[in-house]
Amino acid sequence: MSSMHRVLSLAAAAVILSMPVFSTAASDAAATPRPAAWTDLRQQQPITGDAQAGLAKSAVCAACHGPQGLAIAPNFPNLAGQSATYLYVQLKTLKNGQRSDPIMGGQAAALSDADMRNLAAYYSSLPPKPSGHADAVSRGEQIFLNGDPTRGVPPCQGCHGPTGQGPRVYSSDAPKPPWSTFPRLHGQSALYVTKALGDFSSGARSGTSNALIMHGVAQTLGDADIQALSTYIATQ
Amino acid sequence: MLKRKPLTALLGLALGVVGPLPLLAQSDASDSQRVGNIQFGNSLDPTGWGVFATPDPAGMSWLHAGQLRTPTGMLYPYPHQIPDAAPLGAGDWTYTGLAEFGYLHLSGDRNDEFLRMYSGWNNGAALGMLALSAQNRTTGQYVDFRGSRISSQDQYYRLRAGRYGDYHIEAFYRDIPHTLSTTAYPLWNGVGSTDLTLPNGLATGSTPAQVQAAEANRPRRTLSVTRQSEGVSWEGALTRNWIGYAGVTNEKRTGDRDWGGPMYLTYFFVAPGPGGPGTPSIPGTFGGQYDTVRPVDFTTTDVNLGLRNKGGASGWLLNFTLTGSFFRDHKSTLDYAVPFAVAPGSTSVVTGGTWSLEPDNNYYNVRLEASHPLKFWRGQLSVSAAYSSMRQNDALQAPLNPLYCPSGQFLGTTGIACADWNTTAALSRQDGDARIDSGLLNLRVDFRPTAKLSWHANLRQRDENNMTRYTMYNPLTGQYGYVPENGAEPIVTGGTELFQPGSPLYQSNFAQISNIPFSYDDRKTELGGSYRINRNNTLSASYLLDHQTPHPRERTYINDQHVKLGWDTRSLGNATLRLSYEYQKRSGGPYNPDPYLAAYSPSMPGYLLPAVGYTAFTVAQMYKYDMSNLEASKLKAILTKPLGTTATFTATLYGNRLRYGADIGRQSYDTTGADVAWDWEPTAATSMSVHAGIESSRLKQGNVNDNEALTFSSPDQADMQFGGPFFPYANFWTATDNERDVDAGAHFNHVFSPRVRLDLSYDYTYSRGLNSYDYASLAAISTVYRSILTAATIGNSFPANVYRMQTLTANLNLALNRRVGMRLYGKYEFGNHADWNYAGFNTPADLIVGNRVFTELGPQPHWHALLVGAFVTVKL
Amino acid sequence: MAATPKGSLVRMRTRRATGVMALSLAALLAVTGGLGGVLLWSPGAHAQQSAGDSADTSHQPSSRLSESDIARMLPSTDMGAGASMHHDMHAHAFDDGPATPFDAASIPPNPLAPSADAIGAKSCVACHALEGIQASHSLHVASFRAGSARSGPQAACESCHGPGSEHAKNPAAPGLIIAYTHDAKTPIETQTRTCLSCHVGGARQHWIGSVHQERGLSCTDCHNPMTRQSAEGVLANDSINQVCASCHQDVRAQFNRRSHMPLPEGQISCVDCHNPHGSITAPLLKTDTVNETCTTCHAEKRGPFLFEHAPVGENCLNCHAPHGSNQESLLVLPVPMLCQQCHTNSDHPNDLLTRQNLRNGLAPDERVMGRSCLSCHSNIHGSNNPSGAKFHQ
Repeated sequence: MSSMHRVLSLAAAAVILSMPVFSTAASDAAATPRPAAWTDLRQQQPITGDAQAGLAKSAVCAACHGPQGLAIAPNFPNLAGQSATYLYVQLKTLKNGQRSDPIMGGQAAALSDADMRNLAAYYSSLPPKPSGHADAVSRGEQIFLNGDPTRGVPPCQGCHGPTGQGPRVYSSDAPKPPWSTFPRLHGQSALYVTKALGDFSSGARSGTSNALIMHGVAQTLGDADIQALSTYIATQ
Repeated sequence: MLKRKPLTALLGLALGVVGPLPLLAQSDASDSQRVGNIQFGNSLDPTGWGVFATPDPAGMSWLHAGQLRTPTGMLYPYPHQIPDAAPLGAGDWTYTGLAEFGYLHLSGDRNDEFLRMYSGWNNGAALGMLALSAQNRTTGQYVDFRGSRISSQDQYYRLRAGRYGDYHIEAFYRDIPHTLSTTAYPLWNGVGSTDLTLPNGLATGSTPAQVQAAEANRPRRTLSVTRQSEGVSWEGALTRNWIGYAGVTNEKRTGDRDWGGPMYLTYFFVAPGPGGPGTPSIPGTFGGQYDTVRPVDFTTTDVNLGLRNKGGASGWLLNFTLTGSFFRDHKSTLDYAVPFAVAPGSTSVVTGGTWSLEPDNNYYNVRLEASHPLKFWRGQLSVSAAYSSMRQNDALQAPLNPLYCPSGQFLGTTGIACADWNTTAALSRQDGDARIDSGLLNLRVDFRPTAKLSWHANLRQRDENNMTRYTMYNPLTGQYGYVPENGAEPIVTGGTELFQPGSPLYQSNFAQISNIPFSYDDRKTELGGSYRINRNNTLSASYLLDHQTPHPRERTYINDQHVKLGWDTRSLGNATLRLSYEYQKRSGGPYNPDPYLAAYSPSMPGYLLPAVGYTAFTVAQMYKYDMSNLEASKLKAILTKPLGTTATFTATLYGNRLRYGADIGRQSYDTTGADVAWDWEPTAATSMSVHAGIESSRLKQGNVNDNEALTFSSPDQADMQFGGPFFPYANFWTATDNERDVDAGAHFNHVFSPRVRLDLSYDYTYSRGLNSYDYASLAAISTVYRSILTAATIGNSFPANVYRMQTLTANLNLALNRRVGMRLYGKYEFGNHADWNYAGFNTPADLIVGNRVFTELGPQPHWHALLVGAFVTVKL
Repeated sequence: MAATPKGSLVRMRTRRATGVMALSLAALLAVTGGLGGVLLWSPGAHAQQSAGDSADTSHQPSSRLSESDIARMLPSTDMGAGASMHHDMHAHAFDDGPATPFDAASIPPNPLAPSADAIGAKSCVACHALEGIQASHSLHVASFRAGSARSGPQAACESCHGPGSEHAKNPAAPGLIIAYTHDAKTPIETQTRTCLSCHVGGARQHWIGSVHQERGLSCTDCHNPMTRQSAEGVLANDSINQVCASCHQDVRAQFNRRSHMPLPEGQISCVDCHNPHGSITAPLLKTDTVNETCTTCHAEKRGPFLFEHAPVGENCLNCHAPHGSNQESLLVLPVPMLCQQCHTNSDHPNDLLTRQNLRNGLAPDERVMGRSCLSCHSNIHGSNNPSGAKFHQ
């Protein structure tokens, strides 16, 4: 049965490949106001790269993100132990402009696809920042773990994991979220998290299907919530 | 806007409900209770929804790729692009609208019967779709309109409006064409009316050559019926738990269709051709058989009222419905003049015949369903009761038509005077006065004592009371029975269906003298249950005893026992398999091959048995298939197998084996089939499916020709036994219907860019039926053919029946800008067809065969047609 | 005069029919009589019930609930259906305007997440943004949305999917939300019970015990309330016929045969005759008998006629295939063989007819050519002619 499926799929794929490809990203401008161009991460598979080669390319990165991938200043994110696929997607969207950042845009522009994979693999392989001692009764923890149903805030842990170290994954035949593209949040600086949530909320960062989700999530948060969450995540 | 709930108030008042109607109520608009007018579509767009079927490239979720599956495992299609809504006025109303209009052009065999069967194709302007919808986002009120028009015989318009969860009203108008024949060459003038007259130059007594010459010049006609219907309905919440429904539909059917016209058998009077056996026979010059055309001019008005309770404090779910259906036939007779004399010479008085078409009738049904949870074993009790009545009281026609059998004339040498039979004074009563009532009671209990086990018991009793009693008695003559075939039979053979006690001529006649009021009573007792072995496996079993007591029929009772077993499993990977098996065994009371004697003259006082007895009604060993000792096995498996995340494979396998336990009558009926399908939707932009199925069936029957030499001449003619002198083994024959069906298709849908969308479909259907026969000896055929036919010429089968149709359909949608687009439509259809009923009818002249007049050449043997359309689509 | 045959027929006819008919009539009459009373009684019962539900009855003019009444009955969540996601939807403050019909929809318990609490639609659509947009255009959710536009405190997502708090915390864990799809851990019975809690009765009166229920189908095998996929019926495919054909492939194929009901032409659907939600007949017919279904559209064949043809009144399917056949007029066999299965009667019916009786044969015979038996016995469904005992007038 599966071989028949393969044959049929191949035959059909051959037919379709000979036709102009329909890109979801180039969605009809006439449709509902959605961001004009975004990368569809829904089919993104986990990436692989050569960590050694990434190391060789990492000298420039270390200037801000630290030699061990731990940022030298709070306005930069930690990269150590981050999901490789997340890192790769960020570099890609920084390069193609779907995520805009004055510094990183330039940095990513020079990178080849292989470079981006290698760098992502390298930073992913570094030991993450050790767990901190987050305040267990804070408003931040409340939002991170439970959300706030009275205001429509979903709990962050659903996608980012109960400790901010990645989502809990279960086996299933159903279509699954691209878990590997979801970032690990724990230990990121409050400043960085605040900026990121602000960018998602305002739509400044909306270049991926994941960003479209975060847009909705971040819009439910008030300034005080963001403050509390950022503090909580930084100490996770 | 629509005034709020005018009908609610009306019905509320009618029911005597005064005071405020609480708003907090929910109704849901489900039509799956009422028969008909659920689907509005046409051949141009069978879904009635195709213009909206552009998949939304965004998909269903930002969270994952692909589409989820149904619990069984089919993929949900990608959601359709949502039309832009624009504000309507200053309030909370928004609306969307779409109009698709253009031109359709048909070429090739435009008049083929199969092409036009249910499609009113025309060259000309067509409205592909006019759709308007508006809704108020604060109040939940909505208005929804859809309409499409291919031609004046093929169109629909439907308006729905209401308030979500509160009420809805619906109004529709539609025309559905039904083409019955496109190769009709009726001999008569006045087709479509109740009076068929002969064309100029023909009169009763014409020769076949004269009729043939006239027929050859008759124009080709299409016989068709158009079903025009309109309706309005309302459904709405009356109070928190009560929901009302009221609907009226009115349907008008107009047109004409092929019909008959007997003037007694003519086959019986043939002779071998000039060259003896093996040359075409010389048709008989007695009798006559006429394929006529009858008018269809019907109106059916249906009134439905319903009231249901959703189970409030009382806990009872009630559903109460009243149905009235009123059928009116505006042309309830058909008279036809005949070109041939039923017997050569001046004795042939009869110049035409007459039909009674369907009488007006009324149908009433009152129905109640009630169910209530039970306190133990998570049970539920369900009661359904219904009472219905079918009635008809049309004025009866005179037995003979004074037009064709004028007073003063006599039917041949029989002494039967037309004047005694050509008025309604010859009837025992003037009106039909027919009525059948039926009552139904269905009791059911369902229990679910544990999460794994459920069981039910069901008792259903349905009884009919056929109150129609009619005695064929002519007070003018004192005779029972009737003059058959418009008087033709008495002229040809001297035979009648008349009985008269004390009359030497008629006192020994075997004649039907009254109607037979068939009734079917039925009690079904069922016990069943299912057990969930584990999360993935459920077994079910049920036993049903269907006890039927039909009367008067060949058996006084029938017990149909059914054992059903089912296995539903999801244990084969991620596939769902539903397997069912049914075993059926029927038994019953002793089989009486002739239970109808009470309606025939031998049951009458004064009947004198003739010396040779009366001819056996039928052979004693025959079993009618609805009453035979059926033993059946039916197996079916339906598999749904997800393939990866973007494809699904489905397969159906089935086989039925039915044994009727009879040598004479239907013997067996076997069906075996398989279907497979593969559906694939790799992205929102592309979907594809391929399906194929085969089925083969085989129906075998047996019959035995009576020994016609003994009829009316030997006492042996009364012997009903198979193997006896009248039904000898040598006259036994069997017939087998072998059918093969293939059905396949491929569908492809792709969005090339937001501006270009293509749908392509190819469908293939092929069926081949072979009717073969076998016989013990040539005595199985009619005696009159024994000097004409031989075993070699008879062979062992009819020519094969074939129906093959291939259709290629393409739709190309081009968006020119946000509002305006184009749709290019193309459909190429070709096929071939053979039906031995119509074999040899090639030209209109072929329609005259001796004393027989046919009307139809039958569907075209080969056809091809190309339909193209160009439409402009405007989003309003 | 005609007394004797009539008398014997009267004896033949129903002695037993009257019993059940009287019973069903009595049941109907009893309920009809009681109906008016129940109808009047019902609003009162409702008022009592809502009084019990609500802590403070002073805000209830007559028996109407206001939005603030309902708000008090629901957990403290933002039940607005994702106002932020829709440019055309704006959150308003709660008001005391009349509630919409769906506002009181309750949140079904999820047996697999007994400790879960409701979190409100806004929380759901924060992540399920696109689902929220698609669903808000389906007939089903549009009706919920109509309420939420007034900021109605209705439960929206959770009135079907159950309380969402556990799912939101651990969304990939199976069973924490009432799910209706292939991989769902929610038992089918929980799924269907949830739908039926609102869609109760009516066409679904006989869901329990119907073949679709017994074979483990869920509502969402046929319906997809999350998109506007079909013209009506919130179906899981564009049309009723496509939905049914996804399982009933063999039946779909029959509609492509030489004679068929106008289903491929889009003029009729499976649901014109069948009620997929269950009925008291095995083939899920909408009426109590096959014939009552057929004669709804073919009313002229209903009669009753002076002369009835026994198999016609018994069951149309004695001679016709309901969906499609290779013969004319949906017949199960070609005529004359169809008729000769029963008509072994002496004289002309029981002859073997052969290819030589065709128009181009050696002995053309009206019993085979054209309409065959029906050329003469045209009124085969019954005749109202006094000479129509054999249906040839």
